Amino acid sequence: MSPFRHEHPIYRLAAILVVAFLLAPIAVVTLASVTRTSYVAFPPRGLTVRWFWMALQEPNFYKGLVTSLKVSALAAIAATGLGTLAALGLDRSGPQARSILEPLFTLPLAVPTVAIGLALLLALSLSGIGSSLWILALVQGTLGLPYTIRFVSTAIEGIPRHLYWAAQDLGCPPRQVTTRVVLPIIRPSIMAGAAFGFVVAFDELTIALFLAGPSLVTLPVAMYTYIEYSFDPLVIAMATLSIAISAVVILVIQRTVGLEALGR
Amino acid sequence: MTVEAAVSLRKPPNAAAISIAPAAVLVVGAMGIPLVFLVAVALQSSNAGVDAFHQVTLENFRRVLSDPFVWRVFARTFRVSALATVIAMACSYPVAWYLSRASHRARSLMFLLIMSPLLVSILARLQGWLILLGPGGVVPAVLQEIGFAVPPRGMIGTEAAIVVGLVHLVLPFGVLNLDVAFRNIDDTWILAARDLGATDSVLFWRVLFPLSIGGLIRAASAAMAVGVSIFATPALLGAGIRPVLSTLIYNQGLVSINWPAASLLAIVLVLGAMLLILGASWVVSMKYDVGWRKQ
Repeated sequence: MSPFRHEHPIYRLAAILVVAFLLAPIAVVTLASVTRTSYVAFPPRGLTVRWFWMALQEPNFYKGLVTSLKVSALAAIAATGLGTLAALGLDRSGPQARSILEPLFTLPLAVPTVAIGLALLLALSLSGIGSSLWILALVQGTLGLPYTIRFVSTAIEGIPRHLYWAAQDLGCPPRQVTTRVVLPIIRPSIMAGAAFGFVVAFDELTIALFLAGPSLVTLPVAMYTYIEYSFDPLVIAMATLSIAISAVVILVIQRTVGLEALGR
Repeated sequence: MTVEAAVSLRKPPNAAAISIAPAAVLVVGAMGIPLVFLVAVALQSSNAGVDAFHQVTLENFRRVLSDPFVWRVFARTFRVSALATVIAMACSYPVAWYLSRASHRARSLMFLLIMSPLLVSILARLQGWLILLGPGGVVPAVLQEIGFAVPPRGMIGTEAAIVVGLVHLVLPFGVLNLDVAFRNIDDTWILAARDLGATDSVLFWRVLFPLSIGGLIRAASAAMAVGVSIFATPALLGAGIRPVLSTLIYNQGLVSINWPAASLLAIVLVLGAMLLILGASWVVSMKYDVGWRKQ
């Protein structure tokens, strides 16, 4: 068989090895969270769900989880709302405006988060504004914005033109074309954008570290500072819970736009 | 349809502007304006407040960039991310080739498996590596078995551990970008090369590989940009004893509270990451884009 036929077993082997490598740490964390030992053990010894209850009762994790849920929900709303509006606007913009706006909307992906975090810390403390939950939510929403715009833009571009013409011929005013034709069609992509915006904010560590304060500790920040001092089954259980939350989001995206959309 | 009807489908341009404005304001406010502060603080010589912004000096540049420790950190940053990029490209190349020709079902299953780690909390993934590479972990045990000397703390705190973490982080991007490049290679070109008598090695080196260089550069630069930028991976797997640029910025900004130095290093990082992406896409568009797709 020619080595360039994709059916050649060598490619299947490479694919299996890469997938195994990619999933290994996730599987290991999940399995290590049920160990009966009070220290990290892999393979786990025994089977218990005790660490999950203890993790949720650990005040830093519990408070971090509540803060993260609030921040991520607000961030997802901001990213989805503004991203959908921007995508609708970009669809109606000329090539000149797009050539300026499209790079602007990829900026949040291009600037390293450690630089954004430091820049925000400087700007917020030197201007006297200070950090707050709302600011963190808006900033993390900005990180999701490029994705929501991309998801929704792709969906809008996929709408067949004859649907617009049909709506027009049936007497639909232009504004209602958006609300009654476009929005229902792009709804799955908006949902995928919201899910993705949520998970981006929920997992974001670096900027949250820079903006953290006594009353603003997100779950990743709580986990990071915990690991710096001790690495035990408690924090592993918390990580497993956050994997479960991501898994729900992965399913939502896979069911709506497909994970391939992330790479475009 | 008449021209008038086509025109009336488009809202007046100001409606588009109004709907884009909030998102644009958010990006400028959350990223643009803070970056101006970054530049302003880098031009100070000490931790001064806003009122001291008039004393612009390059003293900070001289002090930071003449420090050999900083250059060692630059070198390590480049070394670990370049190595991780090369490994990730080598691993993703055959996988992306398989994906690009696989059936629809196989493709979507593979994408689910390859992309889902990107959506799993980076701290969870890193904890997996802390277990696998740490003291008593599987990887040090195997290495010891085949005759390597492994320190008691396992591989945590070594550059090798950072490289493993970075490969894990950037591999999905490699597969995605190379898949796009391979899908642009028309199967009829392979058939044509075969008809003209190309052997396996000629087919690969004279047809497939040259056609994939553009995608390879794109994938490698994206991977490299992620590698130099990421904070959590080198912070946890380097255990604080293998500083790279991102962890040095964090330490200078939040631990040592030397804001001018931190800002300068952050600007170096931003420029480096942007140069990687923009430079690569420029090179690709100049030299390697397949001709008929450029139009």
